[in-house]
Amino acid sequence: MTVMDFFGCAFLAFGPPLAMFTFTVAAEPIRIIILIASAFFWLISLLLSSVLWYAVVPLQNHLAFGLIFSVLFQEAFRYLLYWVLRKAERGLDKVTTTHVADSRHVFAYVCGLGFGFMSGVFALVNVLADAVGPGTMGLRQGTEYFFIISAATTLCFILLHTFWGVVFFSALDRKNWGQVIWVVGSHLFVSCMTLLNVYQAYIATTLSAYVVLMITTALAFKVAGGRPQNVVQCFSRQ
Amino acid sequence: MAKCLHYGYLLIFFVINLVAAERIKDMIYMNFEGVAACFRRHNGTHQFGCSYKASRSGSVGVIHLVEDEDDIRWLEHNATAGDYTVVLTFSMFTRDILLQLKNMNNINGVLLAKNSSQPLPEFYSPEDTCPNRYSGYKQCNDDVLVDWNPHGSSLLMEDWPFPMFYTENQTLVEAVRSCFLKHNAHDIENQQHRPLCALEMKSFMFAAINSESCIKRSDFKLNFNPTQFCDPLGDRNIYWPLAPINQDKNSVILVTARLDASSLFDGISPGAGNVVTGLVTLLATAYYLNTLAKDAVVNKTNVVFCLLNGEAFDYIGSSRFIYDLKEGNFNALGGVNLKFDDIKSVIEFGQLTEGELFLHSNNAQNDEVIKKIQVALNAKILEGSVPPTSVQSFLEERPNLTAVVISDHGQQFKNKYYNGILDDAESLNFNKYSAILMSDGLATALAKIATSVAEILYEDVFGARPFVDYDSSHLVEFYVSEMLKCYLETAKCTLFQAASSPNAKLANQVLSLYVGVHRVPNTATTLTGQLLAFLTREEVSNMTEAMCYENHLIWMAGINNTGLCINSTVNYSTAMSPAFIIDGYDMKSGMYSTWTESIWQTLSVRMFLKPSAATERLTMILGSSVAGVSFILKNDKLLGIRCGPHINGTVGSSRGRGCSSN
Repeated sequence: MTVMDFFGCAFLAFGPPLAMFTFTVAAEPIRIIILIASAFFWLISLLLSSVLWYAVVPLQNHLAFGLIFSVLFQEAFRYLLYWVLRKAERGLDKVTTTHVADSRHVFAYVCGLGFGFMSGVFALVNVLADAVGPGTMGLRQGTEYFFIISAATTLCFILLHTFWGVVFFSALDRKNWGQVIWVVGSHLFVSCMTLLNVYQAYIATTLSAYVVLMITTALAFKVAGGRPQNVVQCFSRQ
Repeated sequence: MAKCLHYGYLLIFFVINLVAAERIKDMIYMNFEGVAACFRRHNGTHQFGCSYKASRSGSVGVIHLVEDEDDIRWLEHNATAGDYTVVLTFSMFTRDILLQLKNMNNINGVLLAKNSSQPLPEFYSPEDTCPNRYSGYKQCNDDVLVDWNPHGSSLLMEDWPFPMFYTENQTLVEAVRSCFLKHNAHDIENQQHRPLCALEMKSFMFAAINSESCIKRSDFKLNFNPTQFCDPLGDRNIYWPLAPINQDKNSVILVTARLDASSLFDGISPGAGNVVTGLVTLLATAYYLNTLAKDAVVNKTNVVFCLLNGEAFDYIGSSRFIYDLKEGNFNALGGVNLKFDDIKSVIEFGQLTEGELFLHSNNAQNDEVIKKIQVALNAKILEGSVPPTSVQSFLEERPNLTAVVISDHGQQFKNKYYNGILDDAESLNFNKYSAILMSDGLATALAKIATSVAEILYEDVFGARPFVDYDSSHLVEFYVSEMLKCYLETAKCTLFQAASSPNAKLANQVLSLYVGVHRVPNTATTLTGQLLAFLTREEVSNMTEAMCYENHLIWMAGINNTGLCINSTVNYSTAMSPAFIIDGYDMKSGMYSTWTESIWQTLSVRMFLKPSAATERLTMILGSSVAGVSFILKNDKLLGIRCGPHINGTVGSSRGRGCSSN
């Protein structure tokens, strides 16, 4: 019955990232390796945040506490990943034909996508598992659109992580601290907005997340050297 | 590590769209605790009970409260939201309505909800009008049509294609009701466009067709990987002889009562008026006869008390008892082989209440004991009448056996809830306070029967009238009321506690008297056997617990919980139908009981909102189109365009964020 819900949500959340993976990452082995490495870094950040959450018993029931520290851990590990990649650049150059130092944005993008994939999987798999069952949300609380909103939020987070990666890496390269602050700040902001879901303010949550996504996309586009006319060119075959 | 990840799992779950520290499943579903399920049973030719027709995964139906005939008609003609689960009260839980539901193809389940604010129904008996119709001495297809159980609806004798559950938990009933009113009831013609309150019932039964097929399927010889599909019904019979059985020649008066009732739902078979009254009277009689006969010596006639199990299912206990007697296998009493010829007469305690009594008597014209009982109880004799109880088996074996049933009914049961879930303390008007105060009532009536029968038996066995002191007969009444409390109110009672080993944990609930499957010992049988041993005990003094066990005696808690070592001659014998032990028995012959119970995995009910088709479609379309568009965009439009960041010239073939034309 609600197998439709399951597939609908899965396509919605993971369809675009999968397309990005297929056409931009899958082409080169080195990118796949970096994608997996970055996903692993995200996992470690998750592990650390859970250790913290587990250790601080009195605050376990306060969502905001775990959330903020989780975001900080993720950003810390994004920095760590950046640092490791820069260290590894020369070594990577030897095993691949691509000049890693010349395509830093590409690797930033791949790292962000890895982060996004992992966080998306962890966020949605639990929900997807329950989406299969015969029931939907709403008996006690929530709405029947819970699953679709969850999927949309997850998609937003995957894309956000991707663009945050691009902006963050290039900002560190150029020592542009404003952009670093934007990444960390917007990550905190969007995550904290999801706390409003308790009050069923789904529209506010989702809208704010997508607004931040658009700003970050534009920023990433600019950072990567894109110009408005490129967009037009993209959509018109010459 | 795994633990941390587990918590991490939870944590990130919080981070993205978290609502509370529980799984989403817990917010979607409301599991129903304390519901009783209807399950499947087989005999040699048919299947009975409930199971969902299609799948193991549970049957889902939109809730519809049925309060009158109009609701049924609406379900039949106007219902639009697919499959329904019907919620009924006792007033609508009738054969006609259920058969109507069976013939509709959009019913996926029935929930019977007892509404405590409504009065009990006039009558509710799921049993046949003639219980055990096809077995015993006088079967019901005789020329004289006898409706022993006039209110019987034969619900037990049908195969229902949907699951049925019963609940008397008022919180659940109220939850179902309010969920229905909130989500389903308004604008009911267009309800299919909304998410609707629905129930999922899981009660898939593994067995099918009949006992023969399901046993064959479980057979090791045919299957390399045998799975159990069904189990024969059965448990144990309980016996207690007044005096040791002789090695050679015996003359035995058999005093019997039934030990089991049945009902449509698992775990609820109170059998108050049906079984408990007769059972308690037998226990009291045994107790009193034992007190009277403390020092006397039996000369020619002996008395054996037996409690027969599985009688509701074609007389399992009595037919097995007789089979064992005939085969010379019956040696539960002191290891001596008793024979069927040793039985002089059979006295059975049937359903008993206060008021008029009847003696259903067969071949008892010249029997002194029976005559005296008739006089003492002022009972009305019904010559040649054989109610559907254990005597049927004895008379089938030997039609000229002297056999009587002492009961409160004539040709029709007075019990309105025979073998139903409502046959409980309430229906008997049993009041624990009046029982304690020793005012006249059920306990007094039963005690009177017990003392009269015991005194007459004493006279017959020992040839002299017993010396009766007021105290001991008074004590009988006390024990009767205590026993009634044990069986009707809660098993956590003084007598069961006293008759168990010290510190035994007894369930605080009414015992279910359903016989169950033979693999699993029935708690009710065990407790009754221990109680009989306690009541007819021979105390062995100066024994510690260890010494007691060393001498193969029984250590019980005793009334004061001080510990008591007793010597008892109470014993058990298997009560499983001979059909399952005879090699090559023809299951369709109808000679012995062939009842089996299906195996099941889960019995559960949960409530949730079933999403509307519109929302499902929206999710699917949105998801597919987003995924589709992103693939097409990346594929078609960007092919042939080298996209990538615009730093330092070439960036290989990366089609990342920025694009630049070739």
